[in-house]
Parts: sequence; structure tokens; C-alpha cells
Amino acid sequence: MVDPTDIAVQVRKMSPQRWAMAFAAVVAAALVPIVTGLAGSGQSPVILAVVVGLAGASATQPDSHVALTVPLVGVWHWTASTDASTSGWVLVVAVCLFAFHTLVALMSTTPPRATVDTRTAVRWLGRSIVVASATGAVWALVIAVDRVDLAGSAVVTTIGFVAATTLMVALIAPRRSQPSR
Amino acid sequence: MTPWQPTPALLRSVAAAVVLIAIALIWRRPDLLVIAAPFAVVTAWSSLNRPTRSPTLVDSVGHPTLREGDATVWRGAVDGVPHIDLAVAVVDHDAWVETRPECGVTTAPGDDGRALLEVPLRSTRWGVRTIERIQVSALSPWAAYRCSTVTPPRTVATLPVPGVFDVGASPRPQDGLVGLHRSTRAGDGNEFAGLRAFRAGDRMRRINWPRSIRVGELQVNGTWADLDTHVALMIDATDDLGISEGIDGRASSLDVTVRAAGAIAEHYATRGERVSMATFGGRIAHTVPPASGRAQLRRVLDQMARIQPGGAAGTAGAGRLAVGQSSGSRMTVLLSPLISPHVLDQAVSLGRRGMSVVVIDTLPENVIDHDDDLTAIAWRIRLLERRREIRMVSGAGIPVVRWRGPGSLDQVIRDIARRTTGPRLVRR
Repeated sequence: MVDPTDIAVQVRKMSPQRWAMAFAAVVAAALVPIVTGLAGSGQSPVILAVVVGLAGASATQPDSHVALTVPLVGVWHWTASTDASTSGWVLVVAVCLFAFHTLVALMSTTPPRATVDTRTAVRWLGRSIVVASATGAVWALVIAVDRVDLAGSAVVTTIGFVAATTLMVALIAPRRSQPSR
Repeated sequence: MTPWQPTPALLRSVAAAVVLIAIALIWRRPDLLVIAAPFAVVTAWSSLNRPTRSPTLVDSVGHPTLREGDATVWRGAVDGVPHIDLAVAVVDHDAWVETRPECGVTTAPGDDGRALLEVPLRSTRWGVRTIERIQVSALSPWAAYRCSTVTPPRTVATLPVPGVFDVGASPRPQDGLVGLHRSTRAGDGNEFAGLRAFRAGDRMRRINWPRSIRVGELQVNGTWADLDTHVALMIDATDDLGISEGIDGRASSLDVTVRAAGAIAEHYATRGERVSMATFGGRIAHTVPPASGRAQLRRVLDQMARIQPGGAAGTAGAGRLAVGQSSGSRMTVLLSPLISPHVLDQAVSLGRRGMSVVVIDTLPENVIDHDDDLTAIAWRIRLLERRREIRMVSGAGIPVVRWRGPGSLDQVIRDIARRTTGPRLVRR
């Protein structure tokens, strides 16, 4: 059981960098229901409040499983509000959820009072750009499949997804011996 | 280090990827595949870079001995696994050890399977500092796997920085013929005293031939005897009164005592005089036999760094120690906040045995500042009693001076030197 007093003490000791990362994580999570509302049937303040609350709790306890609830709630909202939309909004939602996950994962590496060194932050940023690019490739593949009148064929999309993932793995594999970048 | 353990971040990415892909396939939602894509890539990336064996940590502290205010560096090297992405060191907070960064947490990215951590440490107060519980963690890419360990405790002895001190007067003549202070009596030495007629026993090389030819009889160069002062430092470690803020802030009574004793030891030991030290009232009694030189100064400071204030119970035994080890051929400097009347009793007892005793009052002025009004009043009453006790001791011929750095002891030592030239009444 997490002691609320400990959380309050940790929040008070948070470094400016940690505050910035926590703020960015909450903003990234909050964008998910907002974008979902733009792509679907309108805004839902209740969902937004729930997501922001969960994101805030995740930012204060990044090394816990609380952060898992944010993508689950966000995806549930997306699934319920939109109808298999492959518009650009889904890419925004995917990138926002990934940004939230990455920021919380980075925050979980150090205590709240710490400041992550610049080299590590740059390394994580570079990797995030690679993953975001892969996400864009998957989205482009989904669009391409959609245009060849194969809408609704999840099997083909899965094949494309696996192909994109394999491509990314093939790109990453040579770097395994050189993890510095 | 402990075996690698999956983190909540890995579980989150795996769960999101698996659940979203499953829903996408079941409900024919290709858009969910787009949302699942980054999580799937992160999962694949993390799995490909999963470490297989635990890394090793080699850590050390740059300097085992410091001076107050000096800094050293704790270094830790985490290596042995090619997939180390990040290493983190967390230093527990210690009141007298400053870290950089101030939060005590440092991170280092892994390069070629090796991460080098450095935590600069600055000890701000004398004493033996134990640097313990440095928690070191190593993480794989995307913080997917983590292993950690806690370093064994390491001690850093922090020597007190002696205060500024100088004394122009020299104490009474002693038995030996070493040291640099001019004696109050003529004798064999280096300091020129004057010309005088040759006497039986004078060395031939002391004869001043030009002067002898001019006056027609043998004349010799007279010198002052070199002085061998034995300064015995007695440190009262019964209590540590007042607030200590380290080298950069307010000083407690023990801070003042130790720094003053260090200053006196440095002044005399580096000038060839013999210095000894003994503590009383602390948890452990420390003694350093008399010797001179920089090595002796280092010994004295090293023992001072190990002083731990004890209780009043040690005071009586300390008094016996002081009497037992004292001799008439030394100058005893007793440093104490003079809160316990036993210390003054012992000083008077030593003085009545014919020993040269100087008492240095090291009670800080801020000791009366207290948040609790009743405690503040109690202190004021005790200080009034203390003032009376000090007056009585001074009346008994034991000089009590307040520590003020350079010149604190000049007048006192002149008085001692003058007194020793005359007849004394000694109680045996």
C-alpha cells in the first residue's frame, strides 16, 4: 500500500526536470481523449478528467502499474468513440500514448529528486523518434491497404504490421553491439 | 548485483501491445494496430536487448582522509553486460556530507557495456563519516529490465581544519634543547643573546676572536637556549553544545574545541615543539603521546577526528587521567566549554600541583539561543553560575581565556613564563 505521505514528500522534492517530464506526460495523456473527441463524437470531460487523474498518479508513481491504466482507458475511449478510423488522428493518439509511456518509463529510472543527464535524455529522444517513425510507417501501411480496397482485412494489416516490425528489428539488430546510440 | 528483473514499463508495453493487437484482429480494427505499433516495437527492442547475466560493480572513494570542506569522489563502474543502457546511483542523505548534484542521484549512460558513475562528496564537518547505502541500479534499453545493489559502507575520516592561531610569547624554559622558540634563559642555542666573557666550559667555537683581540680577553657569543616546549592538549569531549552547521556555518562547542586544539597543535608541532593530546569525557578516550613535527600533527588531527561526545559519566575518570599524566615540565592547555564544574576542579587541582595550566573556554555564544523560553532561561542561569565558577578558578591562579584565534594565549603565556622564573608554592 502506497503511503500518501510518502507521495507528498516525493512530490515536494521533485526536480524541475522531473516536473517538466511529469507535465509533458500528463499533457500527452490528456491529448488522447481530446483527439479522440475531435475524431469521434465529441469531447467527454469525464473521460478527460479520468485520464488526467490517472496520468498524474502515474507521474508521481512511475515505477508502478498505475500507468498501464492510461493506455487502456484511452484505447477504450478511442474504440468506443470512433469507427475504425484510419485518419491522421489515430497516428496522433498512438504517438501521444507512446510519449506518455516513454516519459513514465524514463521517470521510473530515477528517484523524483533526480535530474537525468543530457546524454541519456538525448539517447531516449533519438530512440523515441525511431519508434515514432515506425508507427508512422505502420499507419502509412494501413492507409495503403485501405486504398487498395482491403478495408477490414485485419489479417493483411497484421502482415504489414509484422513486416514493419521486422524491418525495425532488422535496423536495430546491428546496433546491439553498439548500444551507445 | 541482483539478477535482472522486468520492470512495470516492460509489462506495460507488453500488455498494451498484446491486448491491442488481439482486439484489432478480433474486432477488425486496423486503427488499433497503429496504436499498438509503438508498444510492439518497444517490446521487441527490449526483448532483443534483454541482458542475460548480472553486471559487476566496482566502487571506490577517491580519498579515505579529507580535511573539513574538502571534496572527494565516489566512483562506481558497472560493466560486464553489453546491454547496460543506463546506470543510476542514489546516495543516502547525510547531514555532514554534501553531494553534487545536491539531490544525491547521478546517472550515467552505458557505453560499450560499461557505465561510469561519479558522485562528488564534500565533508563539511570533522569526524569519521560513513558513506553507506549507495544504491546502484543498472537498466536495459527502454528501462525494461533492472538490476540493483547496495554498496558496502565506506568510511571517510575528516580531519578538523585548524583555526587561525599564532602566539608571540614563549612559555618557560624546559629540559630539552630542541624547538624554535627563544628561551627566557641563556644557554646553548641558535638565537644570539650578546657578548660576554669566556667562562670555563664554553665551547671553543663560541669564541668571538675579533672582539677578544680588541678587548684583550676572551669573549664568546652568548645565545638563548632553544626551547623545548611540551604542550599537552586536554580536550573535554563530554558534551557537544550549541548548533553545528559544519565548516560553512555556526560552530558547536566541540567544533570550537577541536579546531582550537588543532590550531595550537599545528602552531607548536610544526615549530619543533612537542605536542601531546588526550581527550576525556567522550565515548572513547583518545591519547597521543608527545612528539613533534608534521607527522605528529597528523596523528593529533586524526585522533581528533575520532572524538565522539559522550556523557557526563566520563568526566571524573578524565580528571584522574589528567593528573596522572601531568608533569611539571609541560604546559597543559585544557579546552572545554566549562559547563561541567568537574573540569574546573581538575584544572585547579593541576595548578596546585605546580603545573602550568591554561584553560580555554570554547563555549559558543549562540548556545543561549533556543526556541524554548524555559530552556533559554535555564541556560542563562547556568551561564551565570559558570561565570562565578570561572572567577573562582581565575582567583586560584588558573588563567581562563576565551578562544579568539591569533593572540588568544599571548598574555597568558607571558604570565606563565614570568611566574616560572620566581619561587613557587607547590602542594605535594
